[in-house]
Amino acid sequence: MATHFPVDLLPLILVRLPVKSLLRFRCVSKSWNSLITSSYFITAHINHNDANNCHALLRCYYLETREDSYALHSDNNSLDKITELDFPSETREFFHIIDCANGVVCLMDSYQRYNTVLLWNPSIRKFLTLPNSNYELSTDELMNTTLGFGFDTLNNDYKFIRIYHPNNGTLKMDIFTLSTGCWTDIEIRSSLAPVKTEVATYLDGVLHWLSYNKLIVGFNLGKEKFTEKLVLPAEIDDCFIGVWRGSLSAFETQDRDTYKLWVMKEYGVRESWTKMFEIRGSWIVRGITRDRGLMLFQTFPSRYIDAYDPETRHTKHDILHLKEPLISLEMTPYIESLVLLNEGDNVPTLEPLGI
Amino acid sequence: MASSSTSEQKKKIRLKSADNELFDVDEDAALQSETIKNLLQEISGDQIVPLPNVTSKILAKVIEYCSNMCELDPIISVNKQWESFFKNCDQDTLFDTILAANYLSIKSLLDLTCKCVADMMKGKTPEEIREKFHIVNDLTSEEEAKIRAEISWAFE
Repeated sequence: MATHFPVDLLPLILVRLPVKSLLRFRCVSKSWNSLITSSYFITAHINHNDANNCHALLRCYYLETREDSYALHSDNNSLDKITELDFPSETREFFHIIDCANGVVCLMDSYQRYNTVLLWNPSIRKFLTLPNSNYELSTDELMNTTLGFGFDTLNNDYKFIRIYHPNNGTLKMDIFTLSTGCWTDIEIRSSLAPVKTEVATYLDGVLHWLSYNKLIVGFNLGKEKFTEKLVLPAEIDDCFIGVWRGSLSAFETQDRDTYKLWVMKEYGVRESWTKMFEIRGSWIVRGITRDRGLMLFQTFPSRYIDAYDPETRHTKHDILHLKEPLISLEMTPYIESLVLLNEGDNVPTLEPLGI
Repeated sequence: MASSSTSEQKKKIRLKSADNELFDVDEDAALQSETIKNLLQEISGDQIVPLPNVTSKILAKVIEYCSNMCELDPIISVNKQWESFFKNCDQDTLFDTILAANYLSIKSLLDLTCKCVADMMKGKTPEEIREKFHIVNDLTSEEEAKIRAEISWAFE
């Protein structure tokens, strides 16, 4: 009897494959190609990968050579390097990472700060430049802008946002939507301006930033509305916010030599803020891995990268075994995905850069 | 992979395969299947549970798997044994078990068997996949050339 491949269950099998295999298997047949490129499958593949294959994407910018490099590392206690990534652009020294969602890295050219934003999916080697927004910012607005990137869970879409707040009690937002390839702008009367965050914190479809009166504001990317006002614990004076092991967190900086990590264990519940650990030292936090919760920080004046492991409560020195000191390090949690595979066909305003 | 026996008297469920073979199975093993659990709620007491989509050959394997999952410890080493079994069995048995695990809604078995097929596929070329799984290539040569040109690096 001829072998009968369980065609109906093909998605269940293929979601377990790495992206490189899936790209090759588009050539198996018409039905395999249309399955692998369908948005249904791309989402299913992310959901499977998200639970099982989280890595850390690092950008190192070296002090002496003035070159940068991008690489994938394991989300474990020693942050082992998996592979180097090719960054297909020549102006790379001026780029830095805004955020990453479902394998799409959002980068900005810091040389012409508000003009060039890029979306890069390293696992399919696709790279798109966002068109310029219709709204040109004044110098004053440039000084007061917060940026954000994330996944719109409601519409299965990706959005990039610039938020600026002229001193008249309003917030102006420029929103770029990947599926339409267009910018829209909205203006909201609100006092919920960001205090100092240059990049908003993305978590589960919502962008967060620190506002006045110890408030963390949540802007829902799908509804394009403020949905959350979360209150920080009273004892926190100065902090920045981020994500630690899937929860919204506040990193308190006290006296410049003691740092405390607070986590909102139950989203939206003020009483659930819990102090997780306290570290002493003089350094700058450069990133937190998603699963292990490893905290990377840059030491001064040596400019190497140490890592605090919350499991063992120990700090490992020079975890990246660097050959030379860094100007800066950026790190973002990363999963492989097929997102952007179909872009370029239906988003004519986005032009792929030379790959 | 032999199932261990206990002296306790366990409640048995009677299952009937597509080819009308009867199997008496420990209740806790049978209840790993969501489908059987739901069918038992619909039929009364000691009736036979009909499974018209599963042959006796495959049902015997599935029952052995479910019994192992209930009785043996630790679960990880049992899983390794089953993984090695599915990697070495013939393709028909593997595919039929995937279909049975899906129909019977036994998540751990479905995950394991799908993983085995995915592992067999990793690193293969499209030609090898077509040959291994008897798939006809219905892409025109132009269509195939266009896809290959887009992702030539994935073939390196």
